[in-house]
Amino acid sequence: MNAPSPPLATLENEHPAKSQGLLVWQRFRHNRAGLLAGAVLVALALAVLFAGFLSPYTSSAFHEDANSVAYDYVPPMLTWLHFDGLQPYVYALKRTYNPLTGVKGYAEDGDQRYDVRWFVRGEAYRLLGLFQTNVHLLGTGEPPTSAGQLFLLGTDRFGRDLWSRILYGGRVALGMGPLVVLISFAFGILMGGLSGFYGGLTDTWIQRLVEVAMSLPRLALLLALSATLPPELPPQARFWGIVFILVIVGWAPLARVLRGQVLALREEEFVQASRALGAGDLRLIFRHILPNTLGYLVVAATLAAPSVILLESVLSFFGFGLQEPLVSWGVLMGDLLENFQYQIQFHPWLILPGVFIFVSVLAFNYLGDALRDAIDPFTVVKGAQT
Amino acid sequence: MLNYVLRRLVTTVPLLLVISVIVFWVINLEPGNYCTALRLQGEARYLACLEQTGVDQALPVQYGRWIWGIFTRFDFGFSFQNGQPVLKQLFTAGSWESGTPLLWTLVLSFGAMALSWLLALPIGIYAATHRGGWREGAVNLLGFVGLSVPNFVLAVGLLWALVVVFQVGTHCWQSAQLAQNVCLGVSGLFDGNYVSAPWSFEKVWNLLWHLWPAFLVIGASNLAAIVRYVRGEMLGVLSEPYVQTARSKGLRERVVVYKHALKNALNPLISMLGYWLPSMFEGTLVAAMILQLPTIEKVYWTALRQNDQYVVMAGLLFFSAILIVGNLASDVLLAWVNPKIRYE
Repeated sequence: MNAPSPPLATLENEHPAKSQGLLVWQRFRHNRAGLLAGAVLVALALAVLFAGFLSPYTSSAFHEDANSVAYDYVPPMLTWLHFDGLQPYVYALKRTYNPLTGVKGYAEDGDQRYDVRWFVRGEAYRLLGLFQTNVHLLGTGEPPTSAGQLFLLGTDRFGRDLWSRILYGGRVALGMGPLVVLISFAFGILMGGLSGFYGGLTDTWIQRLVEVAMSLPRLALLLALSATLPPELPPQARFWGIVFILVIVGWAPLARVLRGQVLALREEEFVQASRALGAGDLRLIFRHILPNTLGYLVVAATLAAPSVILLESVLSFFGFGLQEPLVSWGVLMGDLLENFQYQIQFHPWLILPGVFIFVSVLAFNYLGDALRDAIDPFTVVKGAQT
Repeated sequence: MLNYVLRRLVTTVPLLLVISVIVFWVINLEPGNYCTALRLQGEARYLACLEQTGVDQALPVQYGRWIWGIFTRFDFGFSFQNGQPVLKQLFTAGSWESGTPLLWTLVLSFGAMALSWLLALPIGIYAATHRGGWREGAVNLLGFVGLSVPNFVLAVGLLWALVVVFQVGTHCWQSAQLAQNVCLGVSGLFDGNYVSAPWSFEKVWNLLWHLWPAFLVIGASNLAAIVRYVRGEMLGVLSEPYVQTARSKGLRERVVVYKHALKNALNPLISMLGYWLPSMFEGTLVAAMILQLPTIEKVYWTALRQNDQYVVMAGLLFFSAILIVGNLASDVLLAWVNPKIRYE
């Protein structure tokens, strides 16, 4: 008892205590792919948040020339961006017509040159939904009817700028993933927790419910369900309808896995000890059991987000999901569907939103994988100091 | 084991019954019915339609009749579009020359599955036996890319690549929009002139040409998943002591990998077959709509658009049944390959 013990301070210096979070971060830091994926997602999130500023136009502005003829289906102008030293410039748009195929197109008009300027004033928008402004990062600063426009990724059939629409559309696509995951996880945690913690009749009934939910054909049912949303529904209501539908098909697998974990944790000594100390059910669940499933939940959430993005895009692509004026990447690609064979042949840049779906899903998958490795305490990290 | 399977099969019936209620409820959530559109053509047409379809009856009565027909006569109702029985509309409509929806769904789903296994196994084994360096990274990337590319984006991108970049396609037709010939020989199952032609070597060749993009679209995510699993399992097995023993006995590496390691690595994968079955059908749904394949999923999709209630309900029940059977199959396969698992 009274034997001299080594001073605490030196002990701590030799083996500084590391929090769980710090350990996870140290393992995560060494996964280059995971870091890159995280960076891509952060960049995408920032890009869609500041969509109005980063895009030369707004998502819904139609563009037409002085004769009120729309600049429809302008091809991506990325390759038409020229440089005079460091000063980028574009030429005016000139309409072309191919008598052989009957297809209208555009070409550069070498006579008129328009400089691409930084921080130009253009179409008005709300920055972050708060401040009314009209400053855009890039643009030609020309009036809407001018031929000197900057359609970096081309336009759609009404002359709306695809790059701007992709940025705005990312808000829905990237926002809906976390939103649906949050709601369906809250519900799944509740059901799985109740089922595992109380057992007995509650467990039986919830498990039957899970069984039914997991026997429902996801995509086919989603299509049928969203077909029941009346077309005259306002876009906002439709958005929440789609969220609700995605939650219905999303909660069950999580509830099942969580039930198993809660079932196992319920019998652990630390839970028993807490119970013996007189802790109530709620305290046991939220204070002792759920935090122990947190690692799994974080990984599952990261890996569930891409499937939500995918389902929303598929629904919207086929015209069953969101509708104008709300745009998402799926809605944008849906422009291809009407007269598909013609569109794919002559306006292939309408596929570009799909690239963004792909990149964000890829990033979520990589991030989820890296997180799983980082949270697993048995992962051996090369070069990590222990 | 047999007992267990039988019991699971028996519980399938109430499960499907509950699902049938949900399906019926979902279909009738929609305001209006199949006949509503006919109102524009006059009240008489509308009343005749109601008489014919019975969609104005009370919902419990409609449901009762439907389910009674299924249990007593295996009659799932009829299609409003052409009066055909639902089962015929969904599964067996068509001729010997053009094939039936059921046939094409089976060909596409199982074909894609078989093809993805055939491709994924060697890639996975290769990745497990050649560790480190760019090869491992490439296989990893392939796995993630395959998992992440949405199949509708893949389908659209593939069509674009084939049509615009490689300019394949021998099937030209008179386009109403362009008032001249447009060529696109990649969607559908046959080129136009082969659809109802009698079977011949050329027709089969044409079919195969049209099948591979569909297989790729349906099987891509599956392929990626299998590669990842095979690689992971192989890595685990190759580090086991018995593999080392086999090596130290002087066996050739080929024998060690294929005879000793692969067999054990494949066991857990076999049980995944059941889980992948439903995902194949889901993939076929998307591929069928973009590539215009005459499958069950396409019939379902058309019915959904036209509010053809009995076809939609039967379709949903069918997809659920596939899902349930797939889950059961994977449980049974798991017990079959792993003697440690026992169901009672």
